[in-house]
Amino acid sequence: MKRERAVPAAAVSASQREETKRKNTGRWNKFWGKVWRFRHIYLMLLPVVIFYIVYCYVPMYGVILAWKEWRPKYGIIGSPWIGWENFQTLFSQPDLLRAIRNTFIISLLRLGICFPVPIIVAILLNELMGKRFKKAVQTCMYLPNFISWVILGGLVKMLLAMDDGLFNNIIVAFGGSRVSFLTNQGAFYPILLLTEIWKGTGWGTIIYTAAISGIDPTLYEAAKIDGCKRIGLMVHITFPMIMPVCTVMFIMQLANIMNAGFDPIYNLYNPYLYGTADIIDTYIYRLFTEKTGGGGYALSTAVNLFKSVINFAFLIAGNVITKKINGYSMFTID
Amino acid sequence: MQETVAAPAAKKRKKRKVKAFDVVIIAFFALFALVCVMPIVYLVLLSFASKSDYLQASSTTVLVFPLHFNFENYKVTLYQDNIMQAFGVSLFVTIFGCVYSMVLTSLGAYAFTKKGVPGLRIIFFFIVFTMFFGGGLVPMYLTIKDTVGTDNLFSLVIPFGINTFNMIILRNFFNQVPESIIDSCRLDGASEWRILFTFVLPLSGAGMATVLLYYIVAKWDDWYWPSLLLSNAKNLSPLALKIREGLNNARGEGQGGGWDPSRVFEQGSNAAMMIIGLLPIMAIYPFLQKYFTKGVMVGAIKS
Repeated sequence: MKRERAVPAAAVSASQREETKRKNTGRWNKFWGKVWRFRHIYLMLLPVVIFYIVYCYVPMYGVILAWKEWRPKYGIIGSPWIGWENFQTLFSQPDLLRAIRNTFIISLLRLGICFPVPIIVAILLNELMGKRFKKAVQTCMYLPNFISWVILGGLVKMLLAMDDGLFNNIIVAFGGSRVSFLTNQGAFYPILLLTEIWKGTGWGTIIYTAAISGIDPTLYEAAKIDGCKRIGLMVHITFPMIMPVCTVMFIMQLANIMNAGFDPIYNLYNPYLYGTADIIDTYIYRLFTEKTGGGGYALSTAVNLFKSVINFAFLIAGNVITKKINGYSMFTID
Repeated sequence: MQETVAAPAAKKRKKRKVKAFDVVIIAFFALFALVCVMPIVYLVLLSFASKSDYLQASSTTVLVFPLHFNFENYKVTLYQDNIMQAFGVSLFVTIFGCVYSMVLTSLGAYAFTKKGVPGLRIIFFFIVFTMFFGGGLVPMYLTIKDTVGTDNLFSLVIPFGINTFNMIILRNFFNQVPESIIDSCRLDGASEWRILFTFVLPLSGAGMATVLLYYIVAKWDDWYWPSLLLSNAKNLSPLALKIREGLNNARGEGQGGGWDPSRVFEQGSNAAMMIIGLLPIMAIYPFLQKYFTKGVMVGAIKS
């Protein structure tokens, strides 16, 4: 400090300038040195980045079609702007409003009914004795997850068919009369939710089983000494210990509220059920496919944009909450 | 008296006592497992039954039993619906698509395990962002149309290279490879490419198997994009789309294809078609199971 002060002012500024210059070029060189050192990593990233630009960011730019009138000859960029007209057309259609309402209803039902099932099953699975039997049960449980919705939809329709379906055969065998499940609007939600539970429960247990296996066994010992019985252990130890995982899964599902699941619904519904079963995604699909010559292109894009924006808002909110619980954000690398 | 008390106590030390609670849980899971497997068993039964077995079900037997075991349903399905070609298309799209996806995904996953690479965080942010926000159906369709065109099989492969979620799972696995191994490789003069392909990939077997399984299932079962991209090339339809169309359109029992039309029934041939569609996944499932449970756990907990 003192020695610096002793140097004449002009010399200080000159040497300082030199110093900062050297520092800057040093930093600059260091940066490029780093870049050069990782050149192979950049080379690896190159195809990945190109993929994301072409098939994620170019389509993302394509959402401007929501404010345009689609003219096949001119493409997205050349088509004329029409402002908010597409949105006005859409929101005056009762079909879309119905689809939005159904999306929310189905998502909330799924959260309330399907979501807890794998948690309960995982806790019970932890109590199951016999290693071999447990393995066999798990093998069977994961199986439905690998049946595609196309096949599952066909199977469910086959089993519920009015004239010769298995369920109606059973009803008849017990002296009832045949029920038309597949055209009954009220029956759609139970059918959908039960099918989803059948398909997803086993697979869904994996993450909770993993969380349970991470619980410190001494906790159980301590609780046993305190006189806890098995059900008590399940309620007071297992469940609270996997609670954080459950919360995160819940928030992630909540953030996905606008995605009521295209595949299950599209493969299970039919025009009789649009009143309760038509969701935003199926509406988008039909807008795209049913209007010939690209008549629904711009409208479909507009609906999708609306959906994405709402979904994104939920997601940001969910991310903030998860960050508070877990201490990390979904968007960054640790 | 004392002996009788001591005996169960000794037994208890060796083995946990089976209580009523255990019995309830065992019964519950036995039933659960049965419910999970039953529909598939039923499909198999249905596919081998004949028409008379089926008609009997709705009047007397309730369940369909293949009392008149036959392959006619399979014959009619294979002949009428050109299923074999669709099977071949699906096989091509799945194999080619998986190789393409696995290469791209592992390159990205490995790159993102590196620390201190300038710009990596920004790129990662932009990639994760695409998980949550996208252009949607129409812009994607138009992009595919402009890059690889429609009504060809490349349009089912090239645009669906990386699933970001899978890439993050794989990255978590790559992160578990000990740093010391990678450092010692580097000291021996191995390039990043060599490190990735000869050390990191083989050491992340469970992760690779998990991600591969996800890709196989997604590609094999996809009918959504094929239905949009192959709208003018129905002969290129993959199996999932063929099955969807087959299930939704009533097909006649047909004649003259070398099968016995009196044994064939619509539900039976539909069941046969579904079994053919399920076969490949069911065939690989047992081999990958021991990997993917581990894989799902690591992937899920870390992300």
